[in-house]
Parts: sequence; structure tokens; C-alpha cells
Amino acid sequence: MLDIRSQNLGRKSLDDILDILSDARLWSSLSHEQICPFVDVESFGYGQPGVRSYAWAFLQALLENWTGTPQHSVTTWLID
Amino acid sequence: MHHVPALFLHSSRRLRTLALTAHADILRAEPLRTQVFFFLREIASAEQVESILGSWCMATRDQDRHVAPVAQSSWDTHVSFAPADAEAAADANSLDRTVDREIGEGEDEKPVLDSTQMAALLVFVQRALLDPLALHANLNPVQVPVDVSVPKTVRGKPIPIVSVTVQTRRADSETMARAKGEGEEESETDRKARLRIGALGALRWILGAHAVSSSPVLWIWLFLRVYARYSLSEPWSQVTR
Repeated sequence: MLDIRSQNLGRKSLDDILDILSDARLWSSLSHEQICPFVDVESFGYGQPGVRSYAWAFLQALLENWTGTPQHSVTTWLID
Repeated sequence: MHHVPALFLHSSRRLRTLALTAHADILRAEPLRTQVFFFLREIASAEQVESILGSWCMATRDQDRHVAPVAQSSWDTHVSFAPADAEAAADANSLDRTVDREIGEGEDEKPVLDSTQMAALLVFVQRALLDPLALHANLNPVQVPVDVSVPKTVRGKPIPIVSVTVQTRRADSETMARAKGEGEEESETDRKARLRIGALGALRWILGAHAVSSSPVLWIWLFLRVYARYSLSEPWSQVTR
């Protein structure tokens, strides 16, 4: 078998994943609007319900794998 | 093997299905499987490993209901993702034994890819997500036909030159028209969507294979900010628009 070892999800791999998840263009897949409201690109989900559907499923999977709770500073960001 | 990425992500679902089926059949044969893994482990360049693993993983989430199961079956059978946290100690010994094994020992052999290959997989998925058309162009470089004209003479007199290329087109016109028709059915917009769906699916598989740390890292904050700003008044109704 091909055994892709993350080596503790090695720091490098985690950084790579974070790079992808930190890119707002990824999250434009959730948007149905042509001009994404939070990043200056045409939404990846514009005119593509399949993309939006997969994006929301991805978001759900992300939340299911996210353990722990946000810190107070995160809550502050939400209020701002 | 260098044709694999282009075939796994081809615009024709028929070609994708055939390629993945052939790939799965090859991996079922132990001698061939050994050679494929040896190639990936010892011979393939970083770019080739990135493309093969990335396209294979994306194919497991192909939006076509005939394509995805074929890819998913071979991926689940022959690829494992082993986070080395809780399993590191238990697998350490087996890792040593695996490394010491000679090529061709059989089904139990597990070529180990390091974090570089995992990073390569992520790079490919990221490219598919952010610039799918560029990725597709990279996997399918434009081939410029070479017109080879062979001069012929009859009794010393030159006869009109017939292009070999033209002759090829005449012979294969039906086949090429069919293949061209299948490819032309997919617009650039649909192609972008198809590749992005595959990329999202691959990314989901990667995340599903690991429990994400609970530490307050940037992506969590960014996600929450995006989530808070984006209007959620009617998200689900728009998904199916």
C-alpha cells in the first residue's frame, strides 16, 4: 500500500493545509453571488450549485474534525 | 504513468472511467503493483508524484457517479493516510521492517511516502482549487502537429505532395471527431467546476483523515470571520439555485 505518513501531521503539512484554508477564495465556493462579498474575485460557487454543495459539505466535514473551542479573542473578532 | 493525471481528470467521463478501471486492474496484479509503487517511490519526479497522487485523489470525488466509485475503490485499497501521532510508536517497528524489505515481496509491502509527498498532494489540490484551467493546461499541453511531407517522384517527375498529417486525419476522422465532440461538450466554466469539486473532495478526504488541532490557528479565525460576515440569511436556498 501507499502509506502517506503525516509524521504528526508534520508542521509542514499543517502549514500547507492552513495555507489553503486561510485563502478566502476557497470560501467563495460557498457564495452564489457573482462578486464574492468578502474577497474580490468571481465566486467559485457562482452559477455552480454543485460547487456550492460540495463546499458546504466540506465545511461540515471541517467542523466535525475541529476539536476544542475558540478562545475569547476569537469571540472578540466576531463582535468587531 | 505520466499520462495518468491527464486521463484521470479528462473532460470525457468515458475516458476517466476507462483509465481508472485500467489503473485499478493493474494494481490488482501484484507484480505490476510492485512496479507502480517502485516508480512512485524511487523513479518519479516530485512533479509526477504530485500529479499522479493529486489526480487520483481528486478522481475519488468525481462528480460523475460512474467515475468516483472506481477511483475510490482503488484509492481505499492501496493508499492509506497514517497520522503518526498515536500510531507512530506502534508503526515504528513496522516502518523499519517495511524499509528493509526488498522490492517485490508482495501485498504486505507498504512503500512509505514522507511528508513531502503529502505536501505535493496538497499543492496539487490547491492548484486545482484556485486555478483549475491552468492546471488542466499544464496536464494537457497543446500538441502542435508536425507536417511531414514526403516528396515522391514517378519516372523522375514529382507528384503532388500529400501530407502525412492530412492522411492521418482522414483515417481517424471518425475517432477524432468523437473524441473531440466529447471534449468540446465541457465548457471552461464546467471544467473549472468539475476540477474544483474534485479538489474540495480531496481536501475533505485529507481533513477527514486527521483530527485538526484545537489550537487557535489562523484558519479558524479566518473561517469565523468569513462565516460572520457572509450573509447566512438564505444559504441553503441558494445552494440549489
